[in-house]
Amino acid sequence: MSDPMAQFRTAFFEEATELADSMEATLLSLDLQAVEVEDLHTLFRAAHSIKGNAGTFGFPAIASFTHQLESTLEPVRQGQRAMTSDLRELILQGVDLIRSHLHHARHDEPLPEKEQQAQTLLVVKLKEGKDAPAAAPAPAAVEVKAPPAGSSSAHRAGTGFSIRFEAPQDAFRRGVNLERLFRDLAKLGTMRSWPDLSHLPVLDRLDPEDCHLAWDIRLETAHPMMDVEEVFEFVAEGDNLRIQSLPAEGAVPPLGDYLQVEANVSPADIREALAKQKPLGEILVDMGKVKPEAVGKALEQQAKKRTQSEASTVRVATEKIDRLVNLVGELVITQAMLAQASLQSNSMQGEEQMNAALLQLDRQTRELQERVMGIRMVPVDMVFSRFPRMVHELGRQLGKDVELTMEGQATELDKTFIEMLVDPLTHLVRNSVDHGMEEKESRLQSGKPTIGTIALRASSRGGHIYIEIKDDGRGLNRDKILQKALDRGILPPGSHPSDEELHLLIFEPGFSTVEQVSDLSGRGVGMDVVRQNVRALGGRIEVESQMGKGTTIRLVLPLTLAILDGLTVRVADETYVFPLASVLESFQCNDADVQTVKGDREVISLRGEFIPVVRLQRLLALGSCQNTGRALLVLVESEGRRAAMAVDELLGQQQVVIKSLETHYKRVEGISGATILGDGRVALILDVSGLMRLEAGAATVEA
Amino acid sequence: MATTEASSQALQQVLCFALAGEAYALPILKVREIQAQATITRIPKAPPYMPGVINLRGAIVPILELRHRFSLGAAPEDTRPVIVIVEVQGRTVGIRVDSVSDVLDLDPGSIRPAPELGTQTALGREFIAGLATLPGSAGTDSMLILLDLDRLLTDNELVALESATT
Amino acid sequence: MSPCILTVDDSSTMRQMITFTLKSANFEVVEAGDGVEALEVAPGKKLSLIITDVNMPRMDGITLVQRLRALPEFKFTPILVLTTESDASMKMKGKEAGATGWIVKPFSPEKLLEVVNKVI
Repeated sequence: MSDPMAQFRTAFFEEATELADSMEATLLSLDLQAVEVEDLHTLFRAAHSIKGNAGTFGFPAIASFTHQLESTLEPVRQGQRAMTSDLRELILQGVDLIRSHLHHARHDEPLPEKEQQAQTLLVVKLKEGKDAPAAAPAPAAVEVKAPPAGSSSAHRAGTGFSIRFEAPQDAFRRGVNLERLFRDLAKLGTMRSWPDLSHLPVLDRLDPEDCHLAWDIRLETAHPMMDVEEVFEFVAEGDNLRIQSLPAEGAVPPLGDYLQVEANVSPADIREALAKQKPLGEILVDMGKVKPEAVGKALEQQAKKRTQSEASTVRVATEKIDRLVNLVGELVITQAMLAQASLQSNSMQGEEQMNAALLQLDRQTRELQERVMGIRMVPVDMVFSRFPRMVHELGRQLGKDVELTMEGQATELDKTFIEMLVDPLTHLVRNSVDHGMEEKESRLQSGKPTIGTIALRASSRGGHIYIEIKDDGRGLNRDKILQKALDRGILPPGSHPSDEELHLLIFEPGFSTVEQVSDLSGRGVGMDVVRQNVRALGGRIEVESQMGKGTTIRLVLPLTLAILDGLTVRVADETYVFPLASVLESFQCNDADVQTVKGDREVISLRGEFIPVVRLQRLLALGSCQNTGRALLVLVESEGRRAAMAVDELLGQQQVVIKSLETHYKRVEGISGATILGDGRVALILDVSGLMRLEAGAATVEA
Repeated sequence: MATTEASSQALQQVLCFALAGEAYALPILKVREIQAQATITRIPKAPPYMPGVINLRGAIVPILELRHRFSLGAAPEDTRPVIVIVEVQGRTVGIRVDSVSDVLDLDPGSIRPAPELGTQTALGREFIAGLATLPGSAGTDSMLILLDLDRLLTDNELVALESATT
Repeated sequence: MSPCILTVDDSSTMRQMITFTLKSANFEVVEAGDGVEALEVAPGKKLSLIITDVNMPRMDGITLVQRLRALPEFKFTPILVLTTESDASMKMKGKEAGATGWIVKPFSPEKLLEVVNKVI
């Protein structure tokens, strides 16, 4: 590369292409019946960025055209112009033109005549609808959600921030331009500020190079707090900047707020006046109703509570909270019942009452636990919602017609799951479109509809969440996978894996059946990362595929990370927990029913199927087994394989709170975590597939 | 000898404990508490010097079996082992000992560096921060072995154990 | 006359990128390869802003900021230091030395202009 500018230009092209893509995706995802203001901001920002960068890198034609899109979008995001389906079409055309611009600029060519004309026409059309007001009764026009009726300004009164800013003393000496700062702040919305000169020292002690100024600022804006903080980025030093949200819509602002706006009373004055009010505690002390120490203690508690609640917040639906409040009420009653019963614990009646109360307590505790965990649950739609535009966009790029259907978007998942599933699911969907779907021609040849279908489905069944990505594409090529696995040494020569085992190989690190990694699926996470993330969440992957018919990839996840339904068992003198979800049944059998094959492997025949028997006591090195002649077996299933685990006693079913063993000790093969039992002892939670691997490993070593 | 210098400032109050008939001590500042009730849950295939974990008010804490670490043989069946919970470099570990006897104020001057190998103790001097002489009640002096907790817990094998997570 | 900016960086690619970006936004640009050169170049240019890298041969950016602040001519001139994301302490060091603000590397031309516009 002789021209050093070339690399900057390449970066510009890449970024601009991505921005154009994101504009298109956002446009496609817009629900015109209920436009999200944030989407409009996204569109605007993308156009704005392309314009800015194009200018910087010397592409004035792109900059000026994007400027037209930007200025069209400005009133739209301000809620002054409606986003109609017509306007969306126009902007989509604009995005195509940006792409075309980028393409030709990359090759140092001017925009072709035909597209020049299209651009001119488009600019005219964009301007045409300019005066259409947001609430215009045009049939296709729908009002933007943000400003409620009756509000004329773009920024709803009452949304924004109250800011207290004390300029750092060295501001001037660091070359800080405070005037510029206020100008930038004013750009965010409607600003009103009251200087506070009370920190100025007396004249003879005043160092003119020191800054002693402070301001109270009221900023009405739709921008997020981050944008405000960014303005102060170079002058914020811990506590000299305090930004508080103005009372939210619906909340009643304090009187001082009204006085600020209506009577221009400065916040400093309001503070002073408020300071003259005596705190409740002081008044009570004066009245002799309470001791000063008690007030101090109460204030401390209050302060503590306050810092706690400021630390982190979660949005919870009111109905969820209402139910919790009711439950706590019920618990209080139960507690009273128990107290009552304990007073008469000797009588029959007391005992009955006690039992009834304990039953209630059990139910209430369980429900409380469920509901509290429920606060962490969010709908899977948080991930799903990104896929329609992604599939649409990918399909366009690859020249494939793909239709995406979704089901079960309301299925709730633990919040941490959602975050960890974004990348794996994105990869799987991308993969389906890119590799799973055939080209149109080959679909036609094989007698399939030209439009391919990808179905995303989420559901919750029996303590698990199932997420399915199903396509009607070409399906996995069994022979190709087998060949590759043999070539790469993933499978030993002469292996005859089952379909299921074979399909799962696509999740092995470094395994790809596509000779040429396309630029679409080549980036981001690989299939092995998909499996890694799913495993980290305590889940598993299932693959079903039929050559020529399609592929279904199913992620099976536990309901939540923190709690597990377990079957507690005794092995030797230790207690272990099986995840109930992997337990099929348990049964007694005589040792005579257990057959030995291949020298030392034990199997049991169950309804015509031979199932390996795993002696947990031996596998977990808990000493030698005593032969009692009978065995208690727990039949478990994981990743499509079954095993019968021999235990000494079944202790019961219970929900256990999962604690990581890894963070305190280390990862142990066959153990997925630990929990604390009712009697205070630690019990280990068994990892069924890990145990099967362990057993298989032990067998091969011995063989 | 750098060992003495470092310990002369750090070690003032020490917790004394017994292990196979010998007296050992740990700096009291590293000791969080002493547990006499906890039941150890064994971890499958764990190394014998770190055989399991206990529940410390809801936290899972690994146990270091000091007898195994120092190759002192298993504790007699009848002794009820005591677990000294220590915190070293942000890690909480329970150290299982035979019994805890005393908290002593040690004069830093009375602490001598560990002698070369081949002394009365079975453990190598790698884990010994120093030796202190205690005036015995019957006029006979006894010896107190001061353990270097940081070394003990950052010992290669334990580090390997920690980083064994895949 | 358009405002003049001094950019100090030992990497010529970085300097060129900054210069190119600033010039296309109609700023005058002067370049220096390190702190020593910057102190030679800077005086008398009526600089509106100085943008300096931190790690440079001969004289680093932090020392440069301190030296500049000691000169009456640059007592109040805005100075931005280029830091890397992993280096949060560098922001504080720069501030203590008298820098107005910072730009976190890597940055886009757009970001550069955004920060420049914040201080000029």
